[in-house]
Parts: sequence; structure tokens; C-alpha cells
Amino acid sequence: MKQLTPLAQDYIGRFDTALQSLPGHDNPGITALRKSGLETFSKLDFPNHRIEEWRFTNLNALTKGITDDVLAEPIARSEAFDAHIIFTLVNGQIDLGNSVLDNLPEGMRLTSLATELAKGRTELLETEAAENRSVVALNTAFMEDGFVLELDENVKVDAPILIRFVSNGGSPTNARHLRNIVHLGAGAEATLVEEHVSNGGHAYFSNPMTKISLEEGAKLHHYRLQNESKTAFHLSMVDCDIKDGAFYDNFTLSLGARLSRNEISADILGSGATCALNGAYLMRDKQHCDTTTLTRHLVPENDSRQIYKGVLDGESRGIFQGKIHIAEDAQQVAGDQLSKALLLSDRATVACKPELEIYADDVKCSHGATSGELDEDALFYMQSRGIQEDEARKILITAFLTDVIDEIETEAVRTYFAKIATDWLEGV
Amino acid sequence: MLEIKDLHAEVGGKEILKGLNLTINAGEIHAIMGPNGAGKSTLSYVLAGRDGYEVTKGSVLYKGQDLLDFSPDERANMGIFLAFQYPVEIPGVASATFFKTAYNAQRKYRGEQEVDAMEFLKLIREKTNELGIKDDMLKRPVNVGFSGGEKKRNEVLQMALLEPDLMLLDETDSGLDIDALKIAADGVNRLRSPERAGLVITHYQRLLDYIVPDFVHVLADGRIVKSGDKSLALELEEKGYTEMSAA
Amino acid sequence: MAISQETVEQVASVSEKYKYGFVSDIEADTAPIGLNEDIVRFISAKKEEPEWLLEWRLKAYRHWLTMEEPEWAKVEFPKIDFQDIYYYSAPVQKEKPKSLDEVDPELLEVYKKLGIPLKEQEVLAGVEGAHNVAVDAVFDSVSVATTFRERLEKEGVIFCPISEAVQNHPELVQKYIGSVVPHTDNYYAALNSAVFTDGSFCYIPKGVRCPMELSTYFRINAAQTGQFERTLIIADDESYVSYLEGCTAPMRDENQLHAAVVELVIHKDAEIKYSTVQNWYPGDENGVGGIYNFVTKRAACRGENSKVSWTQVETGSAITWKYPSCILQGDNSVGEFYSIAITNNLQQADTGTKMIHLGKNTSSTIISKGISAGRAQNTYRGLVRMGRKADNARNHTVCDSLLIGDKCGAHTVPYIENQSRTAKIEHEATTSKVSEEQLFYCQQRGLSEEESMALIVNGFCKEVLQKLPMEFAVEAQKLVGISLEGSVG
Repeated sequence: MKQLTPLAQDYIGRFDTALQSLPGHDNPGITALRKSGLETFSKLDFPNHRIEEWRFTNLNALTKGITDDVLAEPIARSEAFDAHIIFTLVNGQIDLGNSVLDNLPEGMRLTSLATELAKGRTELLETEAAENRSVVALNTAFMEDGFVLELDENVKVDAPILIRFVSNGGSPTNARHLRNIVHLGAGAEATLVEEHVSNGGHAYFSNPMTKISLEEGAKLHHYRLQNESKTAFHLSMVDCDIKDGAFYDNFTLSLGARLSRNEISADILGSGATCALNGAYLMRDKQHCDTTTLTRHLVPENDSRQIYKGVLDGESRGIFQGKIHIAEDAQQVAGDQLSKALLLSDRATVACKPELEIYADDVKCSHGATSGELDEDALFYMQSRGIQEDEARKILITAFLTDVIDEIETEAVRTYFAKIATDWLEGV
Repeated sequence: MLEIKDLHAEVGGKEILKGLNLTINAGEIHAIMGPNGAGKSTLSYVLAGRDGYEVTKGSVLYKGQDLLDFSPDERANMGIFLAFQYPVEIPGVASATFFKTAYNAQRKYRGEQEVDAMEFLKLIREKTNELGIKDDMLKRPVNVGFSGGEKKRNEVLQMALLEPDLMLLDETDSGLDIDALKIAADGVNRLRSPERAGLVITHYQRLLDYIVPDFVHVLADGRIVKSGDKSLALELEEKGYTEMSAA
Repeated sequence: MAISQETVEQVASVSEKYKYGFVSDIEADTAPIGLNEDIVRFISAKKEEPEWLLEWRLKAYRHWLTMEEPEWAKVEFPKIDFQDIYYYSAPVQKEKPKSLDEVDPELLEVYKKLGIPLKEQEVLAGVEGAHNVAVDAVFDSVSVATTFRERLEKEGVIFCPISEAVQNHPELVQKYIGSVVPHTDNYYAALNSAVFTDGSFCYIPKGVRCPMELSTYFRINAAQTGQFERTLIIADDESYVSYLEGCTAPMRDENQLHAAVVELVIHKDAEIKYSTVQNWYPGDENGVGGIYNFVTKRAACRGENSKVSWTQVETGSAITWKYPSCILQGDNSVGEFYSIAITNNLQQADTGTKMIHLGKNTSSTIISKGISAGRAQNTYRGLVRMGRKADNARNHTVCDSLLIGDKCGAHTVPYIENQSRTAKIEHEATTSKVSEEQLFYCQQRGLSEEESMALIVNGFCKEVLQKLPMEFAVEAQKLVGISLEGSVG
């Protein structure tokens, strides 16, 4: 048998000790769940490039073990928009001082997973079939906390709900395994904004896993900003179940981390449901950003769409893997996907694998993928009108990003994300 | 030629035709007018045999045979031609290929010798000349990228080529300017003969200025509620459907 | 235009299910069943090969032993017992025929039954000069007839069985064999390198435009005989050749393995056009029998302005595993891949291409049309890679899938990698079904449902059919119709 990676060995070695202080440790059900997670992880280790889903993302830099000895310059953070409901987790622990949780609307609960487990709410973690994703299994074994958002039937929350994940470094393991749970009852509506940010240039491993379930007719806008420290590793997973007539849209803006992976798996379980997965990634230096989506249409009459755009500068690398699966008998389904990448430098690279897997015939599916540099003709045209090259470039890149950022329905968030993108462009 | 008795038909479980009676003799042109949703297009699809248009009651005799026993292609080969309201695009298939295939399919059905490419080209050129249709349409894929008017002209050209015994025109006038309308009407009028019959489905009286019908019927809620001669069309135009259907 | 105008006539004229289902019983001179180093030596000895080739085969064999069968393709089949295959069988011949009169009449009979209808049969029958198609007929691994040799020789074109090339032009074979598909390349290519029995060799000298289309008919015949063809085509500077490959096979209940390797080398300003119509036995309606077609095809555009164009119509075989690829090394070189893959009943196809752009201003085009019917699975799998030095390289890919019936699958798995800022890649793919409206429209004009389907599918494939040479286009259009029989209604 081949040897496990050093980091995997480290995790396995300290599991028993860690278990004592992890939430739910006094509950046999939770402990059993963690143990099964560890068992799966022990079998699989961290993913390597021989696993098809990971062929473009190499975790060697992470799995040889991270040390928090690289201090990059602190990240200049733009101020978040004005939110009335804020839930802050610092280094994986809830920070009530920086949270605003009073005046939650009736029928809405926003708490921490540790709190809920302490109350004995183990049903929150009752998960389905055996997990074959090793990073999820690791998360299951070591999840320390996270947010739990629950909306009762027909509760509609207009104001965006802001969840901030702040990492400061300095914690003993340099790892945050967070498990978040979102459940929207039938007809409920919410706008959820996640920020994954750092207050310094520490190296750490951020591993948030969010499980979302949307009941009939529920509607969730899920906006995420990944702006981790430039030396951090960020492996996030979102699993979402979408029932009849429900609507889920996800927009992820990635600019941070040395290596990041944004993995989304959406199961469309109802007719009339819609799933929209969008995002933009802005990378420079030696950053590596991987977006991997799986949209499964499991029943007839629903639709999904995706647009991802990347801007790659320096020696950065962008990955997009998007798979649309249409199950047998899932007729009258539409699935569209578009991936576009812009290469700004000679050393930047992109790899893309848009995949269609279709077992029903009455479907309309398409995907498109493009990659290349800025349109030289447009650039020249603008220069000929007296616009300086730098300025012209920024205008073109902004235009490139605008149509995907415009997919964000909530205006405050759209403006916020657009501002962040503009700030990033200043560094091009 | 065509005898429809107490025809009831459903689409997707919803009853659209609710006891329609109509007899068309050779040599006659009938017009069916009616408001949107009256079942005009359903009637043409039922006669042409489209899947999903289910006859639940009644009968249709065509040249003495039970028409409902035949598949769409058999009906076409028996001389029924439907000029579609929305002609279908078939990418990659040149119009000329399509026309020749259809022409030969019908000849084969009648036990006649199929024509070769040269012979066919001569024939189709005659038809395009007669109707004032440009030849370049023959090279383009069937209906792909055609304007609304071009599509309708294409239907009329096919009708001229196939020389059907029973012409069904489903809102052929919709989306046509006056010149195109004249071409379409000309195509029908050229085919008028004591052996042939036609059923012109339309929402407006305008087309009937050019294809003068022998009979006009008003279709409302799945039934023919009024019949008369061509003056009925003018009356309809004047009074509108609501009043006429109520009568 | 003329091509498509003929379509339906041809579809209508071919109504039999699978008309190539028969077995001829030519006595085979066969090596013992199974595979080991002795078998490799036996084959090499039979072919009276030089030492270097035997060594190369043995190296390939030894490497093959260390490899595992690829499992990434979306195909399923029972594990192949490579020790249960005969690796050498040849029709009995006293010595090589000097003229066609000396060829086993049963062989000629086979060609007749095959309906090698086209001009090739006349050619085989010795009617020289009537048509400009040179046929190097491969029958059960051994070439038995080569025609038009003289005319080609006059131009300096070498076109012969590769076994003959080994004897007569060893320097060319040694220089190029394995230079595009190395013996270590993949499981089936390694196996092929160890045990290939014959195939075609073609060399077009500098500045020569090959005066005729070159054609080879492959045919699998003796039971349980894997076919391991090896084809090597070299286009020297400023030369041009169009090569046609077509296949049919007898009906069998037992699966048969075919693992061919095709290597193309294209030098400066040269061009190779390689067209395939593959119509091997696909198995019956229940998926019994049928050919396993595991082929490695690759072209190296070595010189500046070189060009290769692959066109394939894949309608046969139980399983197709095939990715004709282009390595675009020379600056300004061009790679094209035009493909139609039709699967019906229980057929499985996992096919596509690789475009590896290494040189500056290289460009490639991929047009793939996949049609899946019955309970078949049809996968497009392709790679487009722009290397770091591929300045201003371009790729445009279109892959469309059509589904007929609700029990089949159509899958698209493109890999797109760009390491060059100035390179541009555009990829688009769609999946849809034949619309009920289109079928009804055709039927309303008098076409039967099957005729309508054949017409619509031929329209869907038109862009690719147009790329085929005339002889093949006609056959291919017929095949489109035949392959879909039973898929409607």
C-alpha cells in the first residue's frame, strides 16, 4: 500500500485527541459520524491528479504540511456593504462581538453549529449516502463549527444576511474545517452573502463545507467572496438540493488564496426548479484557482445555467470543470454553460473541461468555452480615440466581467463585488 | 372528396374539436375562419395526421377511405398537402434535395418511375419561374434563415410541385406582405380544377380576395357555427367574430 | 450540393439490414493461440524481418506487459483475454502473386460479396486505367493485391504493404515507425507494435502531388483473429496525398479485437488528407458480437505550413475507442478533424481528437457530430492544448450531439488547456433531439418516418459529409441511413 501524504498522516494521528474537544464529542452519533469520515479519508488520502476530478489541481503544496512561516503583506480589504444581519466566525469560532444577530425576523434562525449540536440537534448532520470525496470526509471528521441558517415556510428575508469567515492565522493547526447548514422551508426566500477573508498574510487551510436544502418554491441567492490570504489554501464545497419550483443561484468571486477550489454540486430534484451557478475569478502571481461544478438534473422539467469568467495575470492558473448530468427520464430539461478566460500575461494558463453527460433525449443543452487574450483590435480602436493603453485594457476587462457580475440580482452585492473587481484591476 | 362527421379531437388531454362537420367536394374551395383558439390549426393537423392530435370521436372519409387509418406520409402520398402556418427548418438539407425526395416518394407511391436529378431540376425551374420565385432558394437548406414570406412561398412552391388533390392552407397569409400574398394565392389558383379541392384556414378576410372560396365557414369553440358563401367572410370582417359566433 | 441531392435515393436503395454478414472459409496459416515472446518472434520470422524490427517488437511487448488497459473511456465490455487470441493468420499462398489471376478466386469472391462496388472491384479485376484509385487490399492481415503500382512508381510514390516496405525501404520504415506513436504510447498501441502483421506504407516524395486517391480496404475474417494493422504515411516537403480507408467485416457472434495504429508524418508545405468510413459489424440488436475497435491514429505536422485533415464516419463496431490526433509542431501548421459517429442498439463509441499546438500560428478545427440511438452510448472526448510557444494559435471546436430515443446517452468531454496568452480557443457544444416537428414536416411531404430520419440526420452531418472525397461521401450517406434503421417507430 502506498504511503499517505504527511498532512493526512498528521490528521489521522491527532484525530483521537482532537475528537475530545470537537463539538458533539459527547454524542455517540456524532462521534460515529466523525469516525466514519476519518475512515473514508484514511482510505482515500488527499486527492491527487490521478483522480479525474482533480487532474488539474495538485495539492502537493498543501499535503506536505503547511507551516505558517510565510507572511505576505496584509491584504487591503474593501469594506463590506451595510448589512443588518451579520454572523462572524474568527478562526473557526463564533465572534459575537462582531456579529449582529438581534432583531432576526420571525421564523428565521441563525446560530452556530456547535451551539446546535450542544442542544442535541444531531439531525442537522444526518447525511445521505456514503461520501467518496475525501476532502468532504475530512471535513466531516474534523468540523469544528459553522453557521446554521434556517427559515420556516414562507418566511421571506429581504435584507442580505452576511456571514464572515475571518482567519488570522496563529491557531495551532492552521486549519479551519467548517460545516455550514442552510435550510429554507417551502416558499422561503433569502439572500446569503459569505465572505472568506483574512486579516493578515498567514498561511492556513480553510475548508468550509456548506449543505443547502431548498424546499418547494424556496429561493436562495448565495453570493460568496473568496478573498483569503495570498498564502492560504481554500478548499470549499457547496452541496445543494433543489426541490420543485425552488430557485438557487450562486455567484462566487474568487481573488484570494494561493490555491483555491470552489466546488459546487447541485442536485435538481424537482420540476420547475432553476439552478444558476456563476462566478468570476481574478488571479495573479502564482495563484491557482479551480472551479468545479456538477449540476445533476434528476427529474424532468427544470433548467440550469452557468457562466464563469476568469482573468488571469502573472503566472496564475485558472481551472474550470463543469459537468451537466441529465439522468435517464429527466426529460424537458435545459442546461447551458459558458466558461470564458482572459489571459493577461505570457505565463498565465487556463484549463477547462466543460462536460455534458446526457441520458435523456428531450433536452436542450449547450456549453461554450473560450480562452484568449484581450481583443487587440478593440484595444487599438480605443487607443486611436486617445484612450491610454492601460486605461483601455481596464475598460475591456471590466466589460468582460460586467456581464457575469450583472447576474447578481441583489444590487448591494452587485455593487460591492464590482467594486472589489475594480480594485483588483488597479493592480494589473 | 372529404367528409368530416362529428369530429372530436384532443391535444394533450384537452378537447379542441367538439363535433365538427364538413363536406368538401372535388372542385370546391372552402374557407374556414375563426378566432384564435377556435381549433383551426388543430383541424389541419388532425387531417394531416400529426402525432399528439388524438381523434376521440367521429370520422373522416377521404376519397371514400377512412383517412384516420393512414400515417402522415401515406396521407401525403394520397394527395393531401398541408401548407404549414410555421414551416419547419431542417438544417443541412438543401431545399432542392428535399423537394426531389418528396416528389420521388410520391411518384414511387403511385408506382411511377422516379425522376433523376437533371429531369427534376428542369421541372422545379419551371415551377419557380411560374411563381416568380428565385432559384437560389433551392440551394439553401430547407427554411433555414428564410424570412416569414420566403417560408410561405416555399410552401406554395412545394404545393405547385406536388400537385395535391386536397390543399390545406393553414394561415398561409399570416406574416405576408401584399406581394407575397399574391404569389401564394396565385399558387393556389393555378392548381384549382374540377378534380381538386382546397381548405383555406385564415383569420382574416384579406386572403379571400385573392383565393375566392366557394364556401365560407365560421369555426368557434371546436364547431362550425355558421356557413355561407364568400359574402360571409365580408360580413365577418365587418362584425367581428364575437357577434358572429354568438349568432 | 450534388452530394446531398443524391442522399435519399441512396438511403432508399439500401434496405437490407447488414448486407456484409458472411464468412469466407479460406484456410488460414495460423500461429498458436495466445501471446508470448515466441509469438512475437514467430510473426517477425514469418515476415522475414530484420533484427532491428524484431528488437523493437520485443521492446514493445515487454513494455506492454507492464501496462494496464485504459479504463477512462465511457465504454463497458467484458475483460479481454489476450491469451485467447490468434495473433497471426494468413491466407495460404504458394508465393506472392504476380498478377491478379494468381489471387485466390475466393478472395475476389469476397470482394464481390462485400459489394466493393465502387471502382475498386474493377481495379482488382485488372481493368487498369479506368479509375484513379489505387487499392492496397488487406485481407486478413496480409496484402494480397496491390495495383496501380507502376503509375505511382513513375511519380516516385511508394505505396505498398508495410511488410514489403520493411524489405524494400528499410531506411524509411526504421526512420519513421514509432516516431509519431511510440511503442510505449498506450496499451493497445504497445500491443500493436509487438504483433502487427501488416498494413499500408506510403511515401510521397518531395514536391509530388499523388496522382490518385489511395485506398485500402481492411477486412477481418478468420475467427478470433485480432487485427493489428500498422499504417505509416510520410508526406515529404511540398507533397500531397489523399488516403481513403474503409472497412466492413463479417457477422460474428464472438467479439473481435482490432487495435490498429496509424502514423502520419507531414513535412514542410505538405498535406495529408485521411478519410475513414468505418462500418464494421456492430453486433446484433441485443449487443451480441461486434468488433472492438481500439485504434491509435496520430499525425505529426513536423514542417512549416504542413497540414493534416482527418475525416471519419464511424457507424460500425460494437465499441469504438479512437482519437485521431494532430501534433502541430511546424509553425503555421494546420490540423483538422471532421467526425460523424453514429451509435445504435447497444453500440458504444468514445471518440474525438487531440489537437496539440506547439508551433506559432498553428490552427485547428474540430467538427464533431455524434448521433446516438437505441440504447447506445456516444461520447465525444477531445483535447485542445496550446503550448507555451504556440503564439497566435487558433482553435475552433463545434461538437453537436443528436439523441434519437430516450434510452441512449450522448456525452461531451472536452479538455481545453491554454498556456499561450495570444492563443485563442473557442469551443461550443450542443445536445438536442430530432424534433417531432421536423419529422412531421417531412412525413407530410410523403417521406416515411425512416426516410425522414435519414434525411434530417444527413442534414445534421452535412458539414462533415462534405469533407469526404466523392466515393466515400456516397457510401457514407447510405451508411447514415442504414445505421439508424430500427431507431424510429
